[in-house]
Amino acid sequence: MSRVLRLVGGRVYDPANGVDGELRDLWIEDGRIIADPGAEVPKHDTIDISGRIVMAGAIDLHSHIAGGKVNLGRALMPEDHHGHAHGAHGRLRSGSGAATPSTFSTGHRYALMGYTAAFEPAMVPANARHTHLELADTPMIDKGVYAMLGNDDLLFRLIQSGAVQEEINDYVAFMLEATQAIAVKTVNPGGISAFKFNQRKLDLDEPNAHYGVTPRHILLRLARAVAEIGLAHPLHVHCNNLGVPGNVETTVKTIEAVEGWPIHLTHVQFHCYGTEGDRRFSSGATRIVEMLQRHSNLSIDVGQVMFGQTMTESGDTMAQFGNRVLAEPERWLCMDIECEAGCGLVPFRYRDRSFVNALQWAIGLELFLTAPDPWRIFLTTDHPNGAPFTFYPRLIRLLMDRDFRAEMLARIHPAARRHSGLAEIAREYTLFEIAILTRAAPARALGLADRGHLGPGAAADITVYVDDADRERMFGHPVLVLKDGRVVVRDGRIVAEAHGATNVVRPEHDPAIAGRIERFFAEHMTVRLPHFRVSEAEIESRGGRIQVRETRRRSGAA
Amino acid sequence: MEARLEEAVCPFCSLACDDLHLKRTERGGVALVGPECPLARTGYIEAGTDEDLPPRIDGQAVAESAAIERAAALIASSAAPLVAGLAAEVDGVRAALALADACGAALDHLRAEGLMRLLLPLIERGAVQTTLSELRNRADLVLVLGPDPRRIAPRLIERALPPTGLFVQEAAPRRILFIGGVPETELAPHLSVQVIPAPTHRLAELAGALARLIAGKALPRPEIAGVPAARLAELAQQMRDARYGVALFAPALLEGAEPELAVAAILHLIQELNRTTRWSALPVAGGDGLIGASQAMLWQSGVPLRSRFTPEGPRFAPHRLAADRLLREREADLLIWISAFRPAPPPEASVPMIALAHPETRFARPPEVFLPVGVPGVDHGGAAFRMDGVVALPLAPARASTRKSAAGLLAAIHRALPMVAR
Repeated sequence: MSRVLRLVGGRVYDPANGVDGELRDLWIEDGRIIADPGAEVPKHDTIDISGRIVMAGAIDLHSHIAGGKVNLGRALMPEDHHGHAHGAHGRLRSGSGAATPSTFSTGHRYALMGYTAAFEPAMVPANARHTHLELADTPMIDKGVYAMLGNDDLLFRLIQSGAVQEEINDYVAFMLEATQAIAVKTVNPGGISAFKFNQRKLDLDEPNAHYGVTPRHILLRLARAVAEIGLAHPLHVHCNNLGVPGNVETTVKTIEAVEGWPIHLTHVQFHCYGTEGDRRFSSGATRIVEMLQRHSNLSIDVGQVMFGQTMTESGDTMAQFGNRVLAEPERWLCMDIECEAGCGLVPFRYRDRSFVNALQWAIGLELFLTAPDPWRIFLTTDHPNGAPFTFYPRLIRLLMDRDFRAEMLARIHPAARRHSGLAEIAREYTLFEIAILTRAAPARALGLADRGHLGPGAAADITVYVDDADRERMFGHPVLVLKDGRVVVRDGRIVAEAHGATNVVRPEHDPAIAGRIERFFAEHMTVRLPHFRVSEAEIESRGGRIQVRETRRRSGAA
Repeated sequence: MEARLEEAVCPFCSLACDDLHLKRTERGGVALVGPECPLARTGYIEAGTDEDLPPRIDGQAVAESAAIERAAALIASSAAPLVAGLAAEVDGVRAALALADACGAALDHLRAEGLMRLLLPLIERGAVQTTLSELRNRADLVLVLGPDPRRIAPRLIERALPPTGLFVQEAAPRRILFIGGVPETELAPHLSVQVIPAPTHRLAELAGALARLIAGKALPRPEIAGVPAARLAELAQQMRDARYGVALFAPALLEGAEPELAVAAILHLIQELNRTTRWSALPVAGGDGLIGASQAMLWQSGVPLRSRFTPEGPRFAPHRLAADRLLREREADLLIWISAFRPAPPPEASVPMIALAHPETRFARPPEVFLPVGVPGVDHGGAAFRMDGVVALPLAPARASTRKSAAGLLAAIHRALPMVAR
């Protein structure tokens, strides 16, 4: 039996268990948190964290960290790597990149910020093996991927052939298992396919030129499939019309299109624009907040913009082709992928003196600060699209520190300041709320029952901070991070390299669907189905560990 | 992993065909039954028998542990090691990169020259690209620029351009145009083929002229690189009228003083066409595990091949870090040569060499350490990337073999490496 570890004297913020800043000790055994043993104290080691703030390890549910488009981003921006390189250190590998860090650096930086899990939200199924190869080289954190569906010719043909919902459900379940994914994402539903047929925009009720299928139809079929096969995480939606002024209307209609089935809207900031004002570009945050109040089936993550150089990497070729004119430096890449999806890369520099960028920044903060329920909003920058994830500590300070916010607001483009209601918002997030946004809520949203909290039975992923009034410094430099009960970061240095699990789901489905998909691959694709599928053994042979998360099959209307 | 002879994945080029039928021959040999492909046929023949071959130090057979120890000692005493060849499947490359990072090596791949011709223009301007299944199902017009890319990927057109696709019907058969090159082997009769004669080394001018025409500008001269302006105008119109065009070209095969200018011009032309219709480029590159090596290097270090692991981190220097130059200028003092797919000859080198190489490799002089390695997809499994960089396929062994993988041997050397002060 391994030795018990006791963290003594910390102030614990554990929203999942209703703990709001109470002084209590944490007891750890075999990588898990155990109940306070009371009077019968076992032999144990002690770490004194008196006066420190304690939370579960943080979880990023939307961060582009691995796979084809990320690697293309690395190739496209040597500048991002030349200026941000570090050598190997002991057994820790070298790496480089600020916006598009290499895999080892990604894992190390997340751990140094107290994050113990991150999820790659846009895996093209054909790119699954590549994505899992990259994750095999991403240390420190637990991980998982969302399979991108909704633009693939296979689904269009199923719909066109009159497939009943059960068949769609089987197809979704099959694809999740075949690609070792935990959730389903749809990016510009129907739009990536439409771009291949030379359509340049696609509204919610606009049919695909070839198939005649609308985004609304795809959304409804997929949202229902995800719910019925019983995934914890709802359909993860990147709406149509990303970045287009006035797109908040599309976003609102998208929420209504799923007819009450659960839905998660990602990087809503980029889908939250009105056309008011003399510049025909305005904040739609109040509309989204209204929708959050009205629809309990809705959750969002923000995709906050922070100022500086980054690389935008998206599955949305249609939008990124349009954005090419904004590229800085001037280069851009779009790719159509395997009759499934695509990707588009555009380097970007967000400037506080640009009206549009400044208003994007303000809109993100408006969303955070006026959202009614911290359990249904998650802290993201859509790394690296709004900013690299390393900006999270500064973002947390913006949410927790009104004076700091006012200081930043004073520096942005004056017209953007006037167009935003941000100056009037007094709200400051509490530590308890930050722990919801970055721990408890994402764990619940993804069905990670033993993560994101500190109750008995939870994995001992624990982050300890100094209670510093400068919240950016505090969240940027935890003094202690434990991964599965082992100290991995101490005083801002990695002291041990951990290897996290790959979280997957295995929803039940009729195996007959495999035959149909196999025929499609044999007749039309350039890979056969057995070679498309990624096996558990492949992940395990590279040192990975599969963690199957629970699904609860259900049927009938929401 | 269980050996496979049906629906086998071919490791010998970046098409990674996964429909091979293999058979066992005497003494553990593997042979291609079909479909026919010269690279696959040769690759399986060269893989030879399953005889277990001993490692060698200075040409003398030794125990594996002795060879590994000697390799680790050579690396530990090297100030400027170079990992070259780097021809391994993805796990072999990952192990090579881990070792290179630990000892501060420079990295090159034996086919990196062609990759750089693509990468440098890509960094300048970007591209619009596509993958093999899109080509197969959408392309109504295919433009092949320069030498026939089937030299690198023999079954490319057979696999990617059958008579019909999801969006290509027999009633409107696809057209394939060659410019600056000719089909070097027979094409299926269903393809409507045209050849526009033009000098291969002047593709940059031709692609530039087409881009001008696409942008609605007139050409400054009545002919460009010997092709009449009217013929180019006609071609530009055909390209504009395509629903989904694909440009195929093999950067490594391009001729002329500055082939990357031709690549840049082609990438630009394809980007411009997308203002009104859909076109994509599909650069045909790879072989010897190039695409997987390029991908793994990028994700592990953030920088492309032809980089060095310095104490300050990985540094990309595409011209300075070519293996031939480093060896010629004596900027490397140790060559770690990796070539698992075929007996590729190592570069001339006056420095000590550790070779993790195909058993049939011929050396000008015996390397200090020679560790024969198995062939990926024949002796052991792994993963192989296709030319489009998107699809990676699983490799399975085709025979029960005791030959060691490059990945395993590199990891063993790495473990034996004393922690050296960097």
